[in-house]
Amino acid sequence: MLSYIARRLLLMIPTLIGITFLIFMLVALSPGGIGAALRAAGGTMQADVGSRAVQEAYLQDRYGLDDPAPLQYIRWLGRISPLKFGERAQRTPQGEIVLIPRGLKEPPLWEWFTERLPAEPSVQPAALAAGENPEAERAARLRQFQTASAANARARLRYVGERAGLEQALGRYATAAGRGDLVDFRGVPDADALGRLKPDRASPAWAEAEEQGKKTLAAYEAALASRAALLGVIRAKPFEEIGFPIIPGVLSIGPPDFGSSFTRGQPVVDLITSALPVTLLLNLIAFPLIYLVAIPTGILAATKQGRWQDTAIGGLVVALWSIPTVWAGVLCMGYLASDQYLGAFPVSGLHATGSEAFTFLPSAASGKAGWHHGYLLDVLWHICLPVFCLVYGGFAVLSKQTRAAMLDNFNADYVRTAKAKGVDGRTIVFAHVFRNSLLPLITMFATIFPAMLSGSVVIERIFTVPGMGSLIIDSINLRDREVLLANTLMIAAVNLLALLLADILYAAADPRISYK
Amino acid sequence: MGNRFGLKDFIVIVLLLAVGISLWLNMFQEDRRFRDTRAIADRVQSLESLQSQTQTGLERLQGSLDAVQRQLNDVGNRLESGVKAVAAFPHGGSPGSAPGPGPQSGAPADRDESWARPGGVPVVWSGGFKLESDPRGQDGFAEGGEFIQIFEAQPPILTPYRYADTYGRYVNDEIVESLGRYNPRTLKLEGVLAEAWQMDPEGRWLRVLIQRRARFSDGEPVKAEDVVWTHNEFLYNAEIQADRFRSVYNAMAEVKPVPGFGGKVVDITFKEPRFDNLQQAFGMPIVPKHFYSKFSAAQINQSTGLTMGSGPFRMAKLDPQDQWKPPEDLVLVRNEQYWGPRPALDRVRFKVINDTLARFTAFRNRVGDMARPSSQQFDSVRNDAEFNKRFQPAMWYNMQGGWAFVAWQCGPRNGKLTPFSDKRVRLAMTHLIDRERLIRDVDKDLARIATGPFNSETPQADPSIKAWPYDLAVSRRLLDEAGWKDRNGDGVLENDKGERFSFQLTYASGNPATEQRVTYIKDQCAKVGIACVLEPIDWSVTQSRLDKRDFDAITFAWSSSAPESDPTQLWAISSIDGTGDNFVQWRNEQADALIKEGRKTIDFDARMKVWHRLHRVIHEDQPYTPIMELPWLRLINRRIHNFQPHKSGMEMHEFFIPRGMQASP
Repeated sequence: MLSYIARRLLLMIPTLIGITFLIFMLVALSPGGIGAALRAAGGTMQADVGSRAVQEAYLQDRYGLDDPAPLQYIRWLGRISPLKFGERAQRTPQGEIVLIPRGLKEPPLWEWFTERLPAEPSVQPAALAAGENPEAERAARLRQFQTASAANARARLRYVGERAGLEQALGRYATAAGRGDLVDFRGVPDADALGRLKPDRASPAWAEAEEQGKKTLAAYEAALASRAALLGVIRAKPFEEIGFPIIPGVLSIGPPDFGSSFTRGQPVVDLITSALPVTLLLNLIAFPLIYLVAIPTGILAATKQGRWQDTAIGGLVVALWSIPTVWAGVLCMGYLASDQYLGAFPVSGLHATGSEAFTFLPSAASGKAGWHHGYLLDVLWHICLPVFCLVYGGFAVLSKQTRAAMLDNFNADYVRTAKAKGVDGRTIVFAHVFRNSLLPLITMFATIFPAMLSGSVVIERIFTVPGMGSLIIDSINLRDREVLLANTLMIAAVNLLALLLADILYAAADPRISYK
Repeated sequence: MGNRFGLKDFIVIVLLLAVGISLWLNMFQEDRRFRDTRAIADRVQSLESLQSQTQTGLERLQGSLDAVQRQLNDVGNRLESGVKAVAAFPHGGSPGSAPGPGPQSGAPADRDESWARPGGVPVVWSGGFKLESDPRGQDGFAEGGEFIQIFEAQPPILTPYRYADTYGRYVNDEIVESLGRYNPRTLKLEGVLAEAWQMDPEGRWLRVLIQRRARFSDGEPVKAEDVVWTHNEFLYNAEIQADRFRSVYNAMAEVKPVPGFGGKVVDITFKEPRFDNLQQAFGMPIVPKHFYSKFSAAQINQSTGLTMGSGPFRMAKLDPQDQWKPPEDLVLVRNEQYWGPRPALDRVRFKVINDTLARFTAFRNRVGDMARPSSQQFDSVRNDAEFNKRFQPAMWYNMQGGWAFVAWQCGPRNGKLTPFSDKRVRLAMTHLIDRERLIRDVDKDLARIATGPFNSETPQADPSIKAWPYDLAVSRRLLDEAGWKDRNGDGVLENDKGERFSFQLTYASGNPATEQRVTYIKDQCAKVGIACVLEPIDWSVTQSRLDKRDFDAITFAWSSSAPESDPTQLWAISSIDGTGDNFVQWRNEQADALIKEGRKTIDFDARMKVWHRLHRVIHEDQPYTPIMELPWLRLINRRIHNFQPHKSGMEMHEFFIPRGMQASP
């Protein structure tokens, strides 16, 4: 059994990689590609943004969007992998992980403007700032690192801007030289193809391109130098290293880094930890409710097979199941929540206005208002309608499943034997048949469980519940790489674990199954 | 099975009960502590308010004393020089009679101009920042209450220069002030944090005296170094992800403080003399150096609600460890330290409700005081007497309203010219669309026909230009002149090469109103024999399609946040290159020359004349068919008083809630 579980767990790793890679490539290859929403925001476009080519270049450099999609994926995989290669990462006293600055792309067609490309300066570990006491030393080192990091960011930004300018200038040069066919829609020429031609120094656009080329090379050299300086500081290890070394300097185990959302700025882990409890709250109330209603009705239907109770329950649960949630949500809102009708429930959200000032429990004494329902009841009252919408459609499957399982067992030999022995009806139903019919229901729960984490987009949208469904849909719509990948990974992992759990439960519940 | 109740069961039950009771007691205890904390917080708030009122009172007293002192000096001087002192208050600014709420009624006599650059460039004094519609003195005026506005979507970030949506801007405008603003009524630039300034008539430099009373919400004065720091170390800090704003505020070459004068004078040099230099310098929000310099760039990049400034409101929570985070309600409280007219509202709360119906229901249920309805919802209640008793539906045009259009591809698409490269065809298309009917049927008369790219509420638009009429005959004639005739009798027009007139109309899917509009245009095209193929695309793809110039005709809307926009971006020939925003590839030498001329013209009135000529050129050539100008639609609870639809939008600062209605909406 243990070896089976270990094998399944190991198999999960390639499966997870496969799933996340597939989802990532689907989004990356969709029109617009990764980061599409960074470029366009909102329903109307703001008419006053400046030089977009340069802005685009900054974005591409920051998020590595100009790399091919598989490379972006591999880089993400490296960050979330608990096995890390190379030096261990460091963490600043403020809790930020120190990232190794990525290498710089060479300026396009540099050979036209200079004999030799400035070489990358060799990195020497910097002398670390010292302090009188550990406190002062930490502060001094942080300052030293921040200074180097800011200088590097500035130099890099300049280079990226100049490089984008050079691409545009070369595009104009190529057009002026009659090779407009080499220039793409962004005004950027195909550097390889253009480089195979001889530079036409007599062209009117040459002077501009040359000047921009010189500027770009100077910025490139400065950016290389500042990057080397920053690397020097990092190599000197000013901060505490995280993780455990396995082979020092080569292989280590470290915490996965899920990165920050493109569009929201916050770390992905924070986004998930704020959305997940909301979804769990709804589902942890909804699912027991479904079970509490569906199982008894299923039992009732099975015991009254063929009679009007059976037909009524069957008809009702299937009717409920076929009501679309969108419609039910809107009806609930219009009739139950609107003051023009019943007005008994709140319209949206999870809390009433000013709930941050409520006491947790209902209170009777304090204040002029007298009785106040408090925070806890407020939340419960707010989730009534969303939970109702989550629940009503779920009865059918479980109820029918219970009924079918019960009927299967009713016809089994052991039931006939029990009846022949003179066991009373109640005991047969609950002690024998129901117990045996529970098995498929338990394992069904294992497969339903992952759905609890992913949330329901429709209900979350209608009732403005900030749960996982909205987070996932937004990350797909906005092509927010980090959020999308982290969510895919989480849901895929929970799904696989739940399937494994279901298989284990099968074996535990049914002695005929074994995984030897 | 032994079902007897044994000792073990008893112990288990007792233990469970004990756990339950201690849990309940613990919650009870927590609640007691919580109530204490709230009481303390409330007391601190009221003390803060009291302190600031005392301070304001003291300052007013000081101001009056200063004025008396000055007048005494003046009288003394006049007596000395043998002139009779006739007028007691030489500039009419009698300090005692001003009913103004704050110290902003300062006497103009302290207009010391020693800080100005020599050379005779005139100094412009802002004359103190005043509310357009002062709530004080109105019927039922009272301070206090909470104004609740319902947003349609969740702004993820509110930190200045990091936010990316209109909600972020809207909230920031209440908290972080800039040097100037557009006057809500005239849309002319006026000083806010700029008390006085000198603008080089050639537009190369600007010297600003910062409002001497201005202070941030923590009481620290606003200084020149804050302006410098905001530009150099915040906006242009390469580590802070503020690219979007770096490309907006890109005209300033150097910002540096002028030594002396209490650190209140700042010098700004511009990269090139351009018409919108002052507009840019006055638009840049000023953030406090002493507050933001405590944070690392990464902290600012990851922050959600680190918003602080000198505006009339401040964030209720500004602790970096416990800052506002979505999906919480966003709460602003009155800035008790505010240097200008004290806002009447105690608090402002922003709630988010995504669903349109839910938003409307919540508004009617009085969950909020203001919400944005859909056109249909607005139409359904505007004549409903019952609704109008409690709520006010407001519709008005302002500089922030957008305009919707169909843009025609005037250049090549994938190397082949579209039929719209011919001006006559574009004009024919405009004559083909009955915009009046579109607005009546689709938009419930909640829009008006646009005549061109400039918002008609702003001085940039030429009011004498009339929209092209709906006229199928003219349209047919123009198409005929352009060579599009039905040559083979199949009902579709062909040109002399026998090519059918067929084009794709691209639009962002998902909006029912847009879908109705494009379907109507398709029907109209069929009437004259043009085959219009509808092509819905995802909004996120729109930008890349525009960049690639990969469309025949496309419809969406532009919006703007300022009364005057730079036409270079949309209409200049240079913006055809690369991914510039002249995606229709409209190459018009006359317009290009006018844009160049306008950009160089610093004088406002002369420049407006140039823009009017440009407006006409665009109108005659119709690279876009302007469909309509969109107003702002708002539903407002009638307990909110002094709501004024302004040309600039609206001013929450002016609202008040009479005492009896302050409890809840």
